[in-house]
Amino acid sequence: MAGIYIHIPFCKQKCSYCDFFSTANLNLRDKIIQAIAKEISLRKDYLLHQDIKTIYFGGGTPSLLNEEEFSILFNELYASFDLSHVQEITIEANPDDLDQNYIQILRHFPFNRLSVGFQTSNDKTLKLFMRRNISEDTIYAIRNCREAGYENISLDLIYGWPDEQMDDLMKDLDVLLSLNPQHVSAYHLTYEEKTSLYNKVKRGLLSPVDENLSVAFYHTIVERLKAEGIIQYEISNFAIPGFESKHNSSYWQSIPYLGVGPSAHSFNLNSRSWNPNDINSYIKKIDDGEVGTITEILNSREKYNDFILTRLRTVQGINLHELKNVHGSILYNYCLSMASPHLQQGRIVLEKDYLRLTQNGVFLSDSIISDLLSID
Amino acid sequence: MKQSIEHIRNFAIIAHIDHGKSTLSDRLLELTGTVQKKDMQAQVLDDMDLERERGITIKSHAIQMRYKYDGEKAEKGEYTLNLIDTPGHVDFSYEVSRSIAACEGALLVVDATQGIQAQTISNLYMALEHDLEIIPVMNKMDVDSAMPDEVEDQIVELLGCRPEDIIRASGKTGMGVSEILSRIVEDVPAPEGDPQGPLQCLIFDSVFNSFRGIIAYFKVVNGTMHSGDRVKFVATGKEYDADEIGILELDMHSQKELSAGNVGYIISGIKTSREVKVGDTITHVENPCKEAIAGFEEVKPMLYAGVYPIETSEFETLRASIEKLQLNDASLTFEPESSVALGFGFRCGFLGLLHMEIVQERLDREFGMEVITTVPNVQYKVYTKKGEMLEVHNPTGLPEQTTIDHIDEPYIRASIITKTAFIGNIMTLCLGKRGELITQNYISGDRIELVYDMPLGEIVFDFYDKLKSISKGYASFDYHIIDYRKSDLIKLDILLNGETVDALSSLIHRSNSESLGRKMCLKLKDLIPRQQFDVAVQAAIGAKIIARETIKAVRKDVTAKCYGGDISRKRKLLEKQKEGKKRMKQIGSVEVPQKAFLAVLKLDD
Repeated sequence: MAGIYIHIPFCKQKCSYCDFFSTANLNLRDKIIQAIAKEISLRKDYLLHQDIKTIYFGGGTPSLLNEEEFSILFNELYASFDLSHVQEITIEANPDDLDQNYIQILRHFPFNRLSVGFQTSNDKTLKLFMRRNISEDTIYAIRNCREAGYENISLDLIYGWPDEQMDDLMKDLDVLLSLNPQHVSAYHLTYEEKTSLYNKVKRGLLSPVDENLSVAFYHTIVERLKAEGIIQYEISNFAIPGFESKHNSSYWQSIPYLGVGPSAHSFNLNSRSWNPNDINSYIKKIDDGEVGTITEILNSREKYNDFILTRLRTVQGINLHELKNVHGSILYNYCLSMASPHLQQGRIVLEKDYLRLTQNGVFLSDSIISDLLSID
Repeated sequence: MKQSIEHIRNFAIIAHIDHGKSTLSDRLLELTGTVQKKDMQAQVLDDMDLERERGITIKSHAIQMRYKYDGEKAEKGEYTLNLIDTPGHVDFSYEVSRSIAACEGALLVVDATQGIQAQTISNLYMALEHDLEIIPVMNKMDVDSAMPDEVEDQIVELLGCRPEDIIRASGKTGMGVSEILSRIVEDVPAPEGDPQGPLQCLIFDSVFNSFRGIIAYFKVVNGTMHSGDRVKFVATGKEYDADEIGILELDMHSQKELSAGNVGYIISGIKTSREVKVGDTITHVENPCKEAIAGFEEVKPMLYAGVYPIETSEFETLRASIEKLQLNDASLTFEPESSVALGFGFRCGFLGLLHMEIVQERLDREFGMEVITTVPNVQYKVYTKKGEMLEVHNPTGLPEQTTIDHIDEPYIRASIITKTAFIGNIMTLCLGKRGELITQNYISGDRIELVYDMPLGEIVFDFYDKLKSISKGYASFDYHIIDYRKSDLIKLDILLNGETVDALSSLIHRSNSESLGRKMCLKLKDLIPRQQFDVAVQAAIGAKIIARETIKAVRKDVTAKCYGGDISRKRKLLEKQKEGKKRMKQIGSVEVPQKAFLAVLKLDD
């Protein structure tokens, strides 16, 4: 089982909260697409011919790609891999790209899952986020997708934005649920360094929401979605059972994935590697027939840390048998002893051989996970 | 080379930190050909890295120069000049006094841009007490901001000399340096001493050499020492063979003999600095001197603090490191102690705050030992109702309050030299530190010396920093211990979530307790990161809580996205978080960073 991630590194305009790698400079577009196609063929053996189950077009803004560009990439995918076992092909899309014409183009390709940036229904906040659309565009876009036959649609929600009140969140959830998503990713707004939003906070132009309100928002989201049959399966992810993202789940389940495109990350069980996020050096390497990845071979301690940090993000949690069998009894015992104060304080529970975060623990997950990590 | 006593000149340099003593010394060495210019690494005399970085001399040294005098005011010919360098900080004033005792003259170096400072005055008085001939030098004359007329007035006022006696110099350009050399020959008297008499040598310094053991520096006051002589150190009573004796130029040069008036070194297989006490007398085992040279004192630490390894398992490594450090720092004392909060460590005695910082830095640099230093304490004399006297230098060592009759604490006499504009602020500061104004002396123009009696324990708490900031740097400070006085002292405890943190306890004056308690709680609230639960920070005297702050629990520490499969970055961030926590000390369930243990030293208003 394996997945492929394709990073489309351009945007018409950068969102103010986003620190993912992308460029608003579209001049190199042709060269980038050519390079990504070439990288697919150069690295076709990376996954050691395991069955490809998922393909994910992320970005950046994959919904900027035109028909010709999709053709180039898919032709290369078909040429390099056996895609007969693929179950899920996702594309991330911006609402304002999803007009009827564009959806018709998408229909020519085997996408069966759309991930759409809903973010919020508050137009003022969309403007602050430097999104290209207003809320109405999203509603219109989703309707178009439904009409075109897409039955697996995920919506991204951002909460905890400046000045957000509980009423705002309730309204966002109402609008979002009216679109009948099969999957929701709900992210608390984070102010990442080097983003324009971060700078505004630093200059005192914006103030982050109160932490207690953040916690209340989170619990509201979990409960409200649950009432609609959309169940939490990871810290930030919710789905109608059966519609969980197979691709993203591979990140949390130690399933290998190949990432192509500038800054994309790959994992093959023993190492993690990533491409340079400088477009020119990426293109040059690939032109020279080289793969520009930086590789980090994982030692047993790092494998354990990855295991802890990915599994604890899932609702299921850490399977103690797997922990012991894969990582050995020393790390197993270490994990349990580090977890013990959190167990006592009710931030973690142990149930049926699974160690998982409680709802009280989720919002402190980083500090809990770091407590469980092993360092030299 | 043997030199008659009439052709020897022994001198020290008295100067405030940064007044250019080291640079000026370098010029003297250069002009006498002791070192070649190309060999000069700036400031030859300060050979510990730490000294060079801090621009202060921690350990004193001695160096011999040959100088051909061709003037009219003394006998022409070659002279031996021994420059005995002195440490430039108040923590080391006893060592300064022994260096001065080995000299017949001193250069008083004053920065022409800054004028006379407190440190200069106290060392000058020490030199005058030892009847040293003083040669005033105004340094840094090349700097634009020099104010020679004003500084000249200060020096004339202080010394009662004539303006024309003051040499105008610059260590940087070399101005006045040859005049300094000829004046040393002309003005400084030759040492007096009988080369034939019983041997009497004054030890004024020692250094540790990892190959040769302890090398002691001394001045021969009377008699002659030969290589191979059987010698005795009077204060310790120990006997050694003088395996090697010699003089110090840039390197050591062994000699067959050293006689009265001269300065040199002795290597005699001594392994630890504790056997070589500054101020001790060396004599012959056969035909010993009748009495030791006066002025010897056992150096006693003035300040005590706990030093703990961050990793509790490194206690033995820390012991080995401190032992090695002590090899060349005899004034450092230590004994094991334990703390509930910090585990096993050592109670170390220091000469002062700077000495404490130096030890901490040397542990880090030379031994890679990161340590936690607790709140320093002075040594108190606790009198019990039964009439016993206990010396207590650790708050946890205080006996039951009910058994205490009274407590005495050490007092200092402090000299502060500043500009009149800052007097008001400085008086307020000293008053807040329980200071008692003894006198004020106008030095010249707008400069004034304030003399205070103050508890030493008050200096330990953020005094230097405050003095510097309220005087915009225009205040210099010096002190010496005068006596012990009765004080109303109480023990202030700090509690984290109800648990007393012994390493944060302090002995303080009752009148300061409430404000100090409040400040400590506030400071700790600042320094202790928020935890996964609320943390109560309390200050208490006995069972009575006098201040409280709450560190609110973290409610949110979660990464929303873990997308694009970038697990490596996430792992590294979380590992870093874990390392940060690991470096903290666990007190009960509260994680406390190192810097919190020194919180009281840097309390802001």
